[in-house]
Amino acid sequence: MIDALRPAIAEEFEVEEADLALDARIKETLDLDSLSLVDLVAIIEQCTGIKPTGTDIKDILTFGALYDYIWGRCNG
Amino acid sequence: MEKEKVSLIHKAVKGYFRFVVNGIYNKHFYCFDVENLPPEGVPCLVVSDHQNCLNDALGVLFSVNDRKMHFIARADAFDIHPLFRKFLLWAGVLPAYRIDHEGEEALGNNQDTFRITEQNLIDGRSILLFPEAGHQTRHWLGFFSLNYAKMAFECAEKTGFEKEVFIMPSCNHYTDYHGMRNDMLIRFGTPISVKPWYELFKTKPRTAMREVNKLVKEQIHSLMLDIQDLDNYDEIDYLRQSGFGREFALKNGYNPDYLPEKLEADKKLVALLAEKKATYEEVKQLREALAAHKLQDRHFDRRPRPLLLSLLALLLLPLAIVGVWPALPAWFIPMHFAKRMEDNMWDGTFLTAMFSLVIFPLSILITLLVEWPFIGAWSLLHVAAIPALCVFEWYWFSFVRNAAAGFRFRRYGEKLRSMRESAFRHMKQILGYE
Repeated sequence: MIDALRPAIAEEFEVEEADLALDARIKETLDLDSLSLVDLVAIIEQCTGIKPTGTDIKDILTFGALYDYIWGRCNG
Repeated sequence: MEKEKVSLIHKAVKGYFRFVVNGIYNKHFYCFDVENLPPEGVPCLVVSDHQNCLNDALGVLFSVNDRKMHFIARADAFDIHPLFRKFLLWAGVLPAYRIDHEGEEALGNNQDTFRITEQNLIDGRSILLFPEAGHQTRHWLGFFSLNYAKMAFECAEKTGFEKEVFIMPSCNHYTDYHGMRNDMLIRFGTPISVKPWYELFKTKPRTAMREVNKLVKEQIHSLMLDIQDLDNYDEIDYLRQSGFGREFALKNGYNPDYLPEKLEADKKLVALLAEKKATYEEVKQLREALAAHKLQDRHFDRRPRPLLLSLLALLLLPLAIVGVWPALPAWFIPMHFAKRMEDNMWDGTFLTAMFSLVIFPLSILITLLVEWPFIGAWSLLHVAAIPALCVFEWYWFSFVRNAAAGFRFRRYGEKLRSMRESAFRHMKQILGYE
């Protein structure tokens, strides 16, 4: 699931997959503002089937924490 | 492209605000390089750093006088009162909804703002917005939302990439964010055309926006005072405002009493401190000791005269009593509301907005209503004197505050003099001069 998510984020946000390292900060790497947050939420939903809210995602600092969040949501 | 017609009422309201803000509230207002703005008719987004809430926008409003400026402001400002909402919309302000304030559900409302802004740009208007999306609480350039770049490119896209759209970086600076009778500066940079990125935007829109944003942010960083060392921010800010910063300015050929030159001196000092990887333990102890005793650094170099100030305040007391109306409500009512905000950067906004919109007009009306039955047209003299009385009252209270500060300095300050000298000597050694 994460393997599908990373290239999708990289493609949408025009970054290298290598930039999405676990300790990389989401906001700075993706220039994440309120509009692009909506895009990120859509990609997560598309790739994982879970429906996070922007409020959930905006407080997550790193990609590692994001993947942990998704994993946690997928496993109840 | 046809010039936008600006109504007489709009000009009158702007003139009134300019009188209140730059005539009463600010001591000096400086504006530089406004001629760099593309002419009216050319789509232009003015983007700026943002600390002092409403006053940052007012600064640009008063700087640009050959066209009607349009603005994008925080959406919660539109909820203050329905009349105020109408006023903002009439004045050319559009709301920006933010997830942290209006919630995720409200973000969709931004589409209207984007659509109208893009049309305004197509029509050749100039629009001011703050990409940090909220004000900072210090001289620091934060994260930029790319929405402004998106609007610029989408405006171009809607015209088949025929129109050249510009982004104009600008900065603002103040001698002090708080209180009144401070100096304010607006400086414009060099406009950046987004046209060279049109082709890139067609295939990699985010990359195009990022590249433009990088240039814009670099320019704003070079214009403003941007203290990036947040761990030592308070110490650096103290140093630049203290006798140390003043001496540094003089040593480098800048006039520390002239805000535009002081800004350049402070930028140079901050850059040098970063370059030398300065440490601030002594400065931190000094700053905390001064704060604990509520002492002001300037008293070390300009000996306070609390007895003289007290005498002056006493001699001027009769005029101060006359000036109580409307000066006391003019200053104390807004400050009462401002203190209820957790964020003290609202001080200036409450002062300027409440005074301009409510207190000043009300005070004129009440003065006339109360005095006219007794003294007739002579009451107009009192009304004409209200602005001067408000300013005088502020200075009279400053005499009182400074007298108290002077007595405190006499009691505690001299004991800290050697600590200060040691801290400053250490900083001079770090910077490589003595």
